[in-house]
Amino acid sequence: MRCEVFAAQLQLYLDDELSVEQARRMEEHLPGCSQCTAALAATMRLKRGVRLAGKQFKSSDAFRKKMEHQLSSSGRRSSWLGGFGLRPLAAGALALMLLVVLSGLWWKSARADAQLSELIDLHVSTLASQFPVDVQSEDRHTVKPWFQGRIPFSFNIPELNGTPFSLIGGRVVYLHQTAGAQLLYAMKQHKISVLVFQDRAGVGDDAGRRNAVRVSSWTKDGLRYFVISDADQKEVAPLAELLKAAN
Amino acid sequence: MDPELFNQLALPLLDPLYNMAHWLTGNRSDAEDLVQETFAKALKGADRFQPETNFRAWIFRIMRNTFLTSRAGLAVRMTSFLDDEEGVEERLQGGDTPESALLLKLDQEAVRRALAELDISHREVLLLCEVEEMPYREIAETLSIPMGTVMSRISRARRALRQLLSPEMKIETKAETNTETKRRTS
Repeated sequence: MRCEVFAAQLQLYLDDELSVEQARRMEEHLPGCSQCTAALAATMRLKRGVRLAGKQFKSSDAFRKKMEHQLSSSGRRSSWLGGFGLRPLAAGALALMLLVVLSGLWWKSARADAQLSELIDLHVSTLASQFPVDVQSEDRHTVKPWFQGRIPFSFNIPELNGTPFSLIGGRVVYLHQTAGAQLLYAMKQHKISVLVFQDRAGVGDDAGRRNAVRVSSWTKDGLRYFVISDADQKEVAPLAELLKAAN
Repeated sequence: MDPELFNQLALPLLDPLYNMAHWLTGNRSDAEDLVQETFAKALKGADRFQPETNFRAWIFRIMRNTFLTSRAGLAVRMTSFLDDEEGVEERLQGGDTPESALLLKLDQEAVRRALAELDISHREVLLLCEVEEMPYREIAETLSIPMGTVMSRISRARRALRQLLSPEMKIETKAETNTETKRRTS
């Protein structure tokens, strides 16, 4: 191979762009050719000079921090939705959906709040009434039959022997235009209301607390039970268990 | 592209990009603006980046295109980025011993001045080759030019640089002149 051919390949050789075979031939040629070797050395110097002089500008710390911040905040923004693979339209739909869900939750919560107030009002107004119960009896076998024909369901009243609770009586109450049963119990100086309704749309499971009055609730066999009292929750709990056991 | 992956790939390139931006624009403020715009464009177009391709070439290309469409870039584009399709033409160099050539160290300040003086398309291709140590294929990808053009442009850029450095490179210049004389007389 002529020297000119090697000379033409010198830069490619230094830039590591020759094939293994071409590089091998170059390496065989170089030791015997002073001209090519000198040209090689000169180009090597030039390459090194450019590498050293060319790498001379460095970004300032302030600029680096600015860019890092810009990238990380963009990353967070895009990952917030990008993680779900969402496009702006989908993001809008998501926002709308969230709004609907949140307003639904707010509405439900507002409605639940109103029902809780209504339940407590029923209890408090019963206590304030001159005639708190329509059927006054400690005997459950008297009270239970009284409700027949007055409410559209039937439920059992538990036996209270050996418990701190005593039955005062009962009356028919209405919640969301639906008839239900209210039983009034006494426990020491406290009065406890037990409200029973059919468990259907409109009657929520509103357990909660307003001032000192607490409401606990559960559902069983299509009926929704509420126990309302200002007594200690732990002391009231056994009555709820008795009701659950009886029904 | 996942934003975390983008950050992992892009942040280590901040300094190389800034260095090139400074060489292209000539001052710190414009270089910072160019890098910032490059990152913003890259981030915006990150979904178009194909994972199997070269990220460095991709983001350098974005920066180059951003520069070329800037006012400063348009001015140099008219004069410097006319394509050079002629083949690789290398002139034989030599005439001195390799030892003396190696011993002679180039003055960095002189190289820096020469680089700054160099035509911008030559400066750019040399920086990608020497500073970024990009293989020709990656340079071709970055500059959107064929491999043959990369070879010829690098070759011409080195020749132009040698001429600018002629006092420093007097050995080579003398050698080249000798070779040219020999060629002309033979």
